[in-house]
Amino acid sequence: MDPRRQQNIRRAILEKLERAEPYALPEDSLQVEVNATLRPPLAQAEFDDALAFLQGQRFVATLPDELDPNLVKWLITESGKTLLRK
Amino acid sequence: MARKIRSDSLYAQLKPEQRDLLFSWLLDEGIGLEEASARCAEQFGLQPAESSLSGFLRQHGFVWRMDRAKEIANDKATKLPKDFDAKKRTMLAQREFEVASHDLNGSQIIALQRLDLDRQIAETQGKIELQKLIIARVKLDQKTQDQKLAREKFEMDVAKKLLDATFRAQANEIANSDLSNADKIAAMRKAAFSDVDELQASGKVVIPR
Repeated sequence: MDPRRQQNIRRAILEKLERAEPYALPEDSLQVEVNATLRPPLAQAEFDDALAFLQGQRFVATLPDELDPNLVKWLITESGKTLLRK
Repeated sequence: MARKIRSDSLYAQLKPEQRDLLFSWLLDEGIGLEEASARCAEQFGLQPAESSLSGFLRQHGFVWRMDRAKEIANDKATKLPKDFDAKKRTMLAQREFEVASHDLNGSQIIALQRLDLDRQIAETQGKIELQKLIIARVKLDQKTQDQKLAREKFEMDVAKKLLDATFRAQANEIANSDLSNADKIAAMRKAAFSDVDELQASGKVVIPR
């Protein structure tokens, strides 16, 4: 993947999550919002890769939902906010 | 990163309250771009092109929805009883945020209803706690009233004693005795409020005859 596009996707994810904090965004909502800012449209694999990278680096984290364990929600971490400001 | 807003953009041309209204039309009412453009012309005196409205929504709609959703969620959270379980408070606020920012699916709605029930229960418990506090306050008021009545009774008893010739004679004897002032006070209290013989039997105070 084009590194610049990869970076744009990661940044878009962090920006959306930062705007929502202290609340978490459900994964499907996050994907829709990120997709709305990108051209060409976001592929599922691109989104999944970006999230996996950001989670691996602890820039984002999931928020467990006890009432609906299948619902994945994402939060930005302090490290993620720091990265976004750089 | 915040993008620089062009001075000729629709966003820049609108006042904050006009932006709010426009977002509300587009996102809450769900009106089309054509109708939004007509309303802008009627109410704001400018008729944006549909492409401008589309760009406005795409670039700023998310921020507006997030800010409004956070405001609603925070407001709901602060209205919960102070003793509401912190974890549930966070969950409920999160759910309120999701409701305000996005449509919910069926299971989320049920989950929200369950949380809402929890909130109602907590509020009811809060009311019970309030009732307990009110009862405690009434009891305290009653206690204060009882103390007031006891004092009035005491004053009445003293007044009656002072009218009693026998007591007055005893009081004079105590007052004129060689007892110390402290003993005189003790003897006077006993003479007035308990059996004098009992006082003498104790041997602590000698009541002069």
